[in-house]
Amino acid sequence: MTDETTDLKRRLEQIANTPRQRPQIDIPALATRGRRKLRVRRICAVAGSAATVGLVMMLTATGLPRLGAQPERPASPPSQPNASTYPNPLVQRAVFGWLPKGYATGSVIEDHQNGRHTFEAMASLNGGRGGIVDLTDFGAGPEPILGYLPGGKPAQPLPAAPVNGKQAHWITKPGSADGGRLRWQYGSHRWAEISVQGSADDTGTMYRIAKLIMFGTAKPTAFPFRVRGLPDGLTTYRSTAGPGLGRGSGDSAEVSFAAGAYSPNNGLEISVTPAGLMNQQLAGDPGRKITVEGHHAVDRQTTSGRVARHTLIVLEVNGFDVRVQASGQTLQRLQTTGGITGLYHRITVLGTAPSRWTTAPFA
Amino acid sequence: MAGPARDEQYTAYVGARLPWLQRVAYLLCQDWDRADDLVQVALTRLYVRWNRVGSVENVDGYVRTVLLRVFLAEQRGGWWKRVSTVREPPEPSPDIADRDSDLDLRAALRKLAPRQRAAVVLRFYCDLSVEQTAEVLNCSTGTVKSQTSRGLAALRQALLPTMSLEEGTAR
Repeated sequence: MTDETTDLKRRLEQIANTPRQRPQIDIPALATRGRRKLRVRRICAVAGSAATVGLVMMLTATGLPRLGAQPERPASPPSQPNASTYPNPLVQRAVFGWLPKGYATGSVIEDHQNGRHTFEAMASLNGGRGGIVDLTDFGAGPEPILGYLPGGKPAQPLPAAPVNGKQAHWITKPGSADGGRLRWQYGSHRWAEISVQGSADDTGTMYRIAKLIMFGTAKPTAFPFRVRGLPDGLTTYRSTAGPGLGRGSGDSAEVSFAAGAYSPNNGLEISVTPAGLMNQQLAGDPGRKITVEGHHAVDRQTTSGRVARHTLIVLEVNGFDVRVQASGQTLQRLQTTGGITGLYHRITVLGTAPSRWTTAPFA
Repeated sequence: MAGPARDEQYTAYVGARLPWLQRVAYLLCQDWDRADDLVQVALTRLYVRWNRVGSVENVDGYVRTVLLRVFLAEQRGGWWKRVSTVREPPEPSPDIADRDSDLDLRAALRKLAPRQRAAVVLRFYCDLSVEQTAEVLNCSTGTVKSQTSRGLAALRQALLPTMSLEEGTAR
């Protein structure tokens, strides 16, 4: 834990320990309320079962397929996972054409979760202390909801001048407590948004940034690692690269895959962070302390609620700490190709010099 | 589990862990009355699922996850969906001689988006790992890292005059 986060923790504890006048919660009343809920739930369950029995009888009588019946299909042998190649998971499709003086581009994210294909790029001044500019390209589709303001109030579009002749609106105006957020349409069914904090938080600067963003670029991100022999049939869900992602100043990268739908209990994550950052977090880790190819490592295998999870963290490999984790169905898929440990042996860390990195990390 | 035994176990657990849950809830919303509302909703759900809790290794973790999800669901639902579960408005909180820097941090936390705030509280107050935080927030570890990174960046921005960062000293 860094000095900064230690200080933050101490201050959070101070705030949480703010004294109160008297306890406000009546525990027996909670139990009473819980019992009432249970009673209602049981009554609903009984009523629901009766309705289901009626529905099944009706469907049987009319010859319709049974609920939950498997569709008929010819028998086929189960497919064997094959080692496969995957395209670059993080193609930068928008770039800042102009940023205020002193701002440097930072992390980029490509995200396929939640049914959209979103790309984000961040820029900051003095590591975020001077200000932040965050660009989100929502990809093709209708305009996403504006979201909620701090405190839970739904955001409402506020009138704004067009950006490059296209309709735009403020979600929050510059100078507001959370900084300005400007959303605009940059193409047919294509929307983008910038949010700023700090020194770029004024109307003129935000419009200049927005007008000069170049969309439609297709710059593949260079990754500091290469992976061979990923099983076939995985889908990329989220990829991140850039400084600060591992809470350090050096470059980090992470790619998440899954066989089937990605969730915290089903996925594969491969990440690298600057060497030394993981070491601090692993002091009390319950995993087995092992050595992998001469590097200190932690191997952790757990099962929780019938979900198996295997994590391998290998420290200080060519300037990076490497973490590979898989769970659920995706972990099962990996087992046929040597599991997490086998996958780690097929990862090559390319070192800290960007000139050695690859834009085809999974080819 | 029979009713009286269930109530006894539940009451014993809640009695022991209530102050801790209230503190977590307070960090999430910075309002003791709202924190109590969140905790009451979470604990009522805990009662309903108490039979299943016996098979959970970490009851604290379970109830913390319920609390976080109640908090985030409330944020998604908007202010009109908030449920106040006390019959009468509670007494106003006493005046407390807060340090200026704590007030700053409280204000800065309040400005964070709900999921960023949740990530910061889970990572730095509850000491959860990135993976554990991802499990509680039902998102990927990458999302946790970026939410935390952005939350910290926003806190840095807001606390610049009072919080020294690299040097590790608070002014």
